[in-house]
Formats: sequence, structure tokens, C-alpha cells
Amino acid sequence: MGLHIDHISLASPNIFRSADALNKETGLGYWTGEWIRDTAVHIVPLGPPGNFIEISGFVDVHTLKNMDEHKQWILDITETGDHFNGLCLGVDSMEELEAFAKHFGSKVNVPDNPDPATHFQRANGYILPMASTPSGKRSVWMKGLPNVYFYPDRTHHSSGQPVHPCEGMVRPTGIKWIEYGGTEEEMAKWLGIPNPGEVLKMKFNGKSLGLWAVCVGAEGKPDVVVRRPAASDAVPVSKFAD
Amino acid sequence: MAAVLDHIHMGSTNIYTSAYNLTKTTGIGHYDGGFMSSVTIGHKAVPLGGQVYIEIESIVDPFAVTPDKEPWFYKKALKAGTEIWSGLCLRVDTMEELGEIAKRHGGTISPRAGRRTRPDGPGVKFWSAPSIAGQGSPWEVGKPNWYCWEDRMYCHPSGQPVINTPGLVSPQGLDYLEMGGTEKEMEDWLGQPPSTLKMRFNGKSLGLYAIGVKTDTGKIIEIRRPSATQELTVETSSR
Repeated sequence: MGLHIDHISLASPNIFRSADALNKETGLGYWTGEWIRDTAVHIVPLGPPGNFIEISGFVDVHTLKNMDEHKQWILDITETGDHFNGLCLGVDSMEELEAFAKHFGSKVNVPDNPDPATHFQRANGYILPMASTPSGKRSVWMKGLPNVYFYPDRTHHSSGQPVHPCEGMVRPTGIKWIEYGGTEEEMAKWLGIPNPGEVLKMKFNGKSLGLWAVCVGAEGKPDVVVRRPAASDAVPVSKFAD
Repeated sequence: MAAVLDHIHMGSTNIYTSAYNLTKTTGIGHYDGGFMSSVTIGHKAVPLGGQVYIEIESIVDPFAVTPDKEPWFYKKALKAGTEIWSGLCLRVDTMEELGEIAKRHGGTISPRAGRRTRPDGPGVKFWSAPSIAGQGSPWEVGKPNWYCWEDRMYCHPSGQPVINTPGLVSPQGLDYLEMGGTEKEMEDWLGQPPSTLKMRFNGKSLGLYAIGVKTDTGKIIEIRRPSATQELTVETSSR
């Protein structure tokens, strides 16, 4: 596939309510996804070649007593409702991922801690192996920029899991386009590729960086457009300038 | 007709870890039960066989409730540093039966029906009793309350499929409930012999202390947690 969109993160104040609302709004189904410590996700598959939205939020509010920069960011962007807070690209090999790491001046993050509690795991304990870049103390999502993933084994990829049955369900046929803030030049510079708009089906709206909308094909029905504010609309990316 | 056991409420501070750990340690599976009408509370269900289930609940929305408005069972679980047995819920088949029970306790049926939005199908609706003016939930003092579902066993949480997980056992219903207090106290409250609900009594403060679950392996699995009325010594500050 080469460089492609893998998934989209939608930060939510209440993942149960947000998943239900998105389902009723669009007909897109979801399944109960992974969790790690105080955070859990509901997964909305978007169809081939393997895309999904992860609706993420806190499920253990007591842990917010011990705040850190990332938790505070999530709280700040979800205080006024759902916001797209991450675009996650994918590549097909570790070599490609390492090349991106080199371009970012970073390294590949390979979660190798044997303690399952340190990984996102599913309700039955399954941990999906994955690697990503860039690696750093501060997520590039906070700056409105995408990161890149590689899955050594896509057998249990989140996009391919069965969803909860629902009334009026639509069958998604894949992402048709996404609407992103900033300009194509900025994105080309970040990714080190000449034409991200064409490669990643990105349209640029010139607003603050981050994802603003995703359009998904639906079998036998009109396209589904999911539009939410970008995280940078709630918390400016300038707050996280190095 | 005598009431039967419907479900057992487990108060938690994190329904994901509570459900996962319960399945991991007992082999009894769980599934995602969605959220309650207040949208504040998330729900995981653990079918036990015999039309009985555990509901694990906690706050899942950091903005929906301020620390001073957190549910009492959440605060208790926080204080305990573990899940607690917060409530025991019996089932009757008709609203007439529920009304009679409410009247016998000097109360009414809860004025608002409870609702839960399931991730996988129609929402469920239920009524509970007794609701007694000026008094909290019977759960808080370790006493069971009664429920009537809108459509009895249709989509009943005890009958829904669990997530496939290594090491699952097939639960076959309850073998016993270990309760505080005495048999006489409980019979006075229930209006039926506690033995019909497989209750045993340990003489401690009122409330549920443990359940024994029969399984297809022949083994009885005991699940023990602090009771809602138990004095808890672990202090944990709020948010």
C-alpha cells in the first residue's frame, strides 16, 4: 500500500456516549476496543483497505488526580465535546517505518515491555503488536501532526473486527478523503514526501493544524462525512512549540 | 410469586480493569453493557447462569459529575481500593408485584424508569422499588431491592454472549450468597425465606460479602469483595 491512512483518533469526554451518537448519526458500527489503565477506545471500522476511527477517552476519572501534560491536553480538548486529535498513517514494513523515523530525527517506538498492563489490550487480553514513529515524550498529535505505524501482523487489525449490530447500519467502503488544517506544503515538509494531498487523499482547509473531517464511502448509500473540530481548535498547537 | 435473584451490583472505579481481572481470575466471561441513562455510568455485564448476572459500574465521564456528586458506590470502591459489592437486586415479573413490595416497605416504585443503552441492540428499561422519601437506596444499608424489567427476559443481561477469552468457564448459576446480618432480619425485609435465594449469613454488618458460582467444571468459584456496609480502612482522597 505504501504510505496510507491507518486510523483516526477522536478524543471524547465519554466514549460510550460518543460511539452511540456517531452510530446514530452515521449508521457506522463500532466495537468495544482496547484499554490501557485509565483510557479506553471504541473502534469504528471504515472499510478497506483497513481504516478505522478510535474514539478515545478516560474511563477512570480518579486517575485524573495525578495530572500530566498529555492528560491535561485530552481534558482541555474534550471539555467542549468530541475533537479529532490524531491522524495515524501506516506503512508496510519496518524498513519504511525506520526511514520515517530517520526523517523525523527520531526513533521507532517498539512497545516491548512484557507487562501487559503497559499496552493497549482488548477485553480478552489480546495485545495487537505495533510499532510507531516518531517516539518522544510529547506526542506529535499535540502539534496537529500525524505519526506513522507499522503492524508486523495485521491478522487482528482493529479495522477488521466485527462491530456490534445496530439498526440502520451502513457498510463502510473506505476513506474517500480527509480534510486537514494547514497547507499541503506544511504536510509535505513534515512527511518528507512531495504530494501528500494525492497520496493520502488529503484536502487542506488552511485552518489550524489537525484533522477536521473524514469522508467514508457507504455501500448502496450516500457517502458519510464525519465532521468534528480539530484538537487545535480547542488548544492551539503553539502551546506545544518546542 | 416469590422474587428471584436478578443481578448483583459491583461498584468499581474502572470497569475495564475490574471486568478484565474478574474474568482473568475466575474464567467467568463478561461483555460490554453500554451506559446508563445518566450517561455518567458505564456498564460491564458478567452472566452467571440461572438468569443472574453481575453488573460492574463506574463513572466513565470526567465532566459529567463533580467529585461531590459522585455515586456513593464509586466513593466506597475508591475508599476500599477495590471493587465492592454494592447491591443485591431481586426480580419480579409484574409491576403489580413491584407495587405491592413498595407499599409493604412504606414507599413507592421509583418514579423514573432506569434505562441502559446497549452497544448491540435495543435499549433496556426497568423499574425498581422501594423508593422511600427521605431515605437512600436500600443498597446503602446492605438490603436488597426489587426490579421489574419492561419485557421480562427479553434481552435480559444474563443471557447475552460474553467476549471470547482464553480460559473461559461456563457458569451454571449461584450456589450461595454470603450475607451479613441474620436470617430473621433478612426474612423480615424480603417477605420470603432467604433460603429461597440461597442466602447464608455471617452475622457481620448487613450486605453481600461473597457469592459462590457453579461452573461446568464442577468447581464452585467464590467471588469475595468488601460489602457496601463494611467499615473500610483504606483512605484515598478524591479528585
